[in-house]
Amino acid sequence: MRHLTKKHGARTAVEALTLEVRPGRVTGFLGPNGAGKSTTMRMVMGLDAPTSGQALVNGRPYAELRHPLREAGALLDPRSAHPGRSARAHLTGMARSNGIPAARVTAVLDTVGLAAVAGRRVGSFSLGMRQRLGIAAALLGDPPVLLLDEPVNGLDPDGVRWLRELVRGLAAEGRTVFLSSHLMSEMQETADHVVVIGRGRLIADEPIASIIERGSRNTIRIRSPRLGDLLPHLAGEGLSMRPAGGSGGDAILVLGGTLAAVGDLAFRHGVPVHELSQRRASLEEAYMELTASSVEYGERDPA
Amino acid sequence: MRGAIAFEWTKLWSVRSTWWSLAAAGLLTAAASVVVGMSAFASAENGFDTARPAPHAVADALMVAQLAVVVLATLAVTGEYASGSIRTTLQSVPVRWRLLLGKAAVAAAVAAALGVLLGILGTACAAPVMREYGEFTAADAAVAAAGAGGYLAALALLSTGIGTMLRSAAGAITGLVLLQLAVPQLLRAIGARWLESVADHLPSSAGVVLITRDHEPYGAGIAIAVLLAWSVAALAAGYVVLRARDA
Repeated sequence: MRHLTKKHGARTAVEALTLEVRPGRVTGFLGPNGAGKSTTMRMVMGLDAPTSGQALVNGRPYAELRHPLREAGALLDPRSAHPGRSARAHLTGMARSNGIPAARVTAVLDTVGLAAVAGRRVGSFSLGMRQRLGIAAALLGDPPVLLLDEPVNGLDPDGVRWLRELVRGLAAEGRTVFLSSHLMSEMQETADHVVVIGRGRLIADEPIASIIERGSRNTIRIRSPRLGDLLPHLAGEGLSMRPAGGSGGDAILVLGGTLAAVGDLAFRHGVPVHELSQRRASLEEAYMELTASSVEYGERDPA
Repeated sequence: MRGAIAFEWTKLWSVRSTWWSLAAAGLLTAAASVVVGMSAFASAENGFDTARPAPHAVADALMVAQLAVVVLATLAVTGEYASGSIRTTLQSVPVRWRLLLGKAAVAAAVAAALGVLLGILGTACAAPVMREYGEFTAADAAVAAAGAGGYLAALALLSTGIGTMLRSAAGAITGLVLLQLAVPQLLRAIGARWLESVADHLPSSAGVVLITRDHEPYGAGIAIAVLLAWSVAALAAGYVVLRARDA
């Protein structure tokens, strides 16, 4: 994507987004509601035209690909099949449009676990089944590039796990996988690399480990019966503190510093320490920090 | 292009509305042909000069049965927007003109074949009830069947274009029904010469000419030109919207 911009009237949905999603890994796509994730994916797949800039798949605009389904597959919305058509007919039509052998239809129906209901009309499918059909459609052309917008929605826990393994497997085969989700814990398990946008702008584009590292800022948890004696010394070292929740008031989180430094400090001042631990922040916390200023539709702290 | 056509073909035959539309077209044609034929016979018996080749009754019957083609071709487009399957369709065939031509080609081919069948069916239903007042030659029947095929093919193109432009079944079908049935009556009811001339150049009037080879108000060549002009204009308008608007 190069300087990709999309305006809806006066509102800018995506602004000058430049990023490259690389093969061989799962790239998570994160951002608050309305941040422009779906719009970005729709532009990549040629459904929406960018106001300016361009989105390229394998170096070319999607619409210029000769057999587009064989180059990129996408699940953009579970409502992408006619409810009166059977799952098999839906996929067969797609296959014919791109010269994909009919055997692929059976193969992807097997992959997503819909083989038994292939002849049923899509209108009778649950949300989870529709998501599976959408994933089947994305996989149909055996494309090297996959875009999945909120694929986890509607899947049961088994389905979530199945999808995680599928997606990791696809990336391991060297494919490019671009995946959006609201479930941070799921993303932390699945993605290798994360792109975060807020209000249409790029906030972060880096490996998931470095995002978490950045977000955690070496938080250290200390529990002590004589916490009050320790606090002035910690402050004297220039460390900032905040209360740790759910500990009855005898614990505190220290930002910055190292375990050794904090432990030595307590020892020097003769303060007993019952717990001293490094806390690793989750992707969720790191994400919250990153996007705090760009929540589009959400409560904001009163100023 | 072959892929786009095969795609549309598969989609058309895998929804029930197609079969319902075709069944409705057959029933409407048969029923209307019988009614038109009986009416012509009764009037002729009472001394009016209503004798004409039975295949010409098809032209009247099709004014009703054509609505099935309108529904068929319109739903092939608007059904995609209503269900969201347009997302799949545009991902499969992202080149807009190729998609539109694929839809148009399949709708027109099916409508043409349907028209020929309806021409034969209508003649077969009208002839027995018209008896001696409906005598016709094999050429009359062949012309009517071919004309019905050509007319319905053009109507399918028109409907595809309007459906693509409006994206809503309600809007497109209402508009087409008005254009095909209400507007011609209205224009002729007013009585102004130039409005009649406009009415003569509506698709339905050209269709009647094509089926009956009436040479009133013009010949088959002009009728084909009129139908083509409407089809091309509607498809062009549909293409403009398809290109300009996000799916």
